[in-house]
Amino acid sequence: MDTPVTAQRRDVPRREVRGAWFLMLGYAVLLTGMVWDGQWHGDVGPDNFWTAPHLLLYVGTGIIGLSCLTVVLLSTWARGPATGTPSVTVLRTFRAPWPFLVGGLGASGNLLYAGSDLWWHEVYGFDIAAGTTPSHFGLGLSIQVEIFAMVMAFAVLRRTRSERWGLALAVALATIGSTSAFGMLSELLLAWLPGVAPRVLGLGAAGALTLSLIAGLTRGWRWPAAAGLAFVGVQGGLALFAPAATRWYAGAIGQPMRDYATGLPQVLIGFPATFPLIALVAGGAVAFAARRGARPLPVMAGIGALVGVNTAVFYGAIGMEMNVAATLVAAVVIGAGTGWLGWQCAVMLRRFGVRTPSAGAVAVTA
Amino acid sequence: MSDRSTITVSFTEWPIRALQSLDFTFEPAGGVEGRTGLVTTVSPSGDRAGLKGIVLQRRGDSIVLPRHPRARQVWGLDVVSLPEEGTWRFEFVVEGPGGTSTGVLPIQAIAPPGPPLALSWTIALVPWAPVALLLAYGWRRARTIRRAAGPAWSG
Repeated sequence: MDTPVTAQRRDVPRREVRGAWFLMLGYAVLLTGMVWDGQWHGDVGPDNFWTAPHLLLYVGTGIIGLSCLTVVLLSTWARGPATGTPSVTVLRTFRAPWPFLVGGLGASGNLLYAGSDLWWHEVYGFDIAAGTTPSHFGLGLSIQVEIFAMVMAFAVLRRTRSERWGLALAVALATIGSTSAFGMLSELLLAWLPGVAPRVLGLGAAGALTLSLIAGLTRGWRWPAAAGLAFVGVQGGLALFAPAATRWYAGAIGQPMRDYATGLPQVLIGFPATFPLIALVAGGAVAFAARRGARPLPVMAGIGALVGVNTAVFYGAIGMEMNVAATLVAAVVIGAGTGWLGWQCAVMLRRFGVRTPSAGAVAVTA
Repeated sequence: MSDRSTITVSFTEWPIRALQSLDFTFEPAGGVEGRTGLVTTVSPSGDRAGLKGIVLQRRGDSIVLPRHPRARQVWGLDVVSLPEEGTWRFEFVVEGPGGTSTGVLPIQAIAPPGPPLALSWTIALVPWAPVALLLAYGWRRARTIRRAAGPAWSG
């Protein structure tokens, strides 16, 4: 099932392979900055444009933008056979493979909205608890676009074990990183549902989507489970890093910790820490369903529903305000829907790893 | 305050505008040492927990006042905003060795700064309209791919 066929390994230009890893590096830096920023506001507080966590956000975005630009320029100037990755010609000149076009647009949007965010804070001040502002909404969506670009870039690869682990890690980063945009979107769109905690629905949808994506891309039980393992590493690493970095940074610039600062790692409740268990169950479900020849779409919808239940139970248990029954029902519906959607997206993304017949290559995917 | 003691409330911005963040400091006569300060912020529409903030310790609807992070000798709330225009009521309770004092301070929040919020939201959202249309168009065009894939694990 998910054993690779290596005899006729697809050729992906080296620039795209390196570009994918650089995209991931950039996003990992960005996510680290974002998690550290949240911890900093909670434990210490003062904000300006140039705090160390903010610098990580900008550096991460810069790495993503420059990586995408480099891959597009190298693709434009490249000689030899065209890449098998679906590409578009931009401004009649630039040859842009889709993942890097999307990533570049996301990084550009990120920078533009960061500029508007600076204006917003000049007018309204640095309110760290105002809820969603227009500029933060735009920033969150742009970062989500960068996340999708990272997943697309690894969806193209999947040829070697390290590339598939790269996909698992990309999915883990995407799962934690999607909390921002999915949380904001659900709070804006679904707050009218009576008794329902909208954030639960957004985060449940994000987890269902990413888990279903990796199951659909790899078609094997190992990789959803591997994504769960990678998630433990990402969340655990950030949970160790953010509070320690916050204490160190506060000491370095002579800021006292807040009264009532918990110092506990916020990232552990930023996305349900129980998600990896569901990823393991998803792996088991895929193995079982494949052996029995069950249809994948209902299985993915079921896994999505389970992610929704997990999210609702986790946040209910830590005291988020909600009507548990109403939130559970809504989370099951949204989770099942995004589980279904994730598989459909994976079907289309798998085409990214397949050469078109006109390119004269045989499609060999595991 | 109820027993004629005083609490001095200071603001880093004046006048206070809705949605514009500022720092508040609260200084009871005799200092904060050995005293506990509680403030309930009642919004113009009557929400008794109307002020949101990060790491606020609450006792019921009341905020247990922390020391200001950069003025540790007084209590304070840093970078918070009053989300509603109108008259807010800050209801204070100070518990100390001499007993408990209470007091109420009306605070006027005038119109928010900047352009109308609807305009800011429209400008922020407009670039996403073509993205949504493109996604919908792409999803429709890819229908054949999704159908051709077939309902199988090995597809």
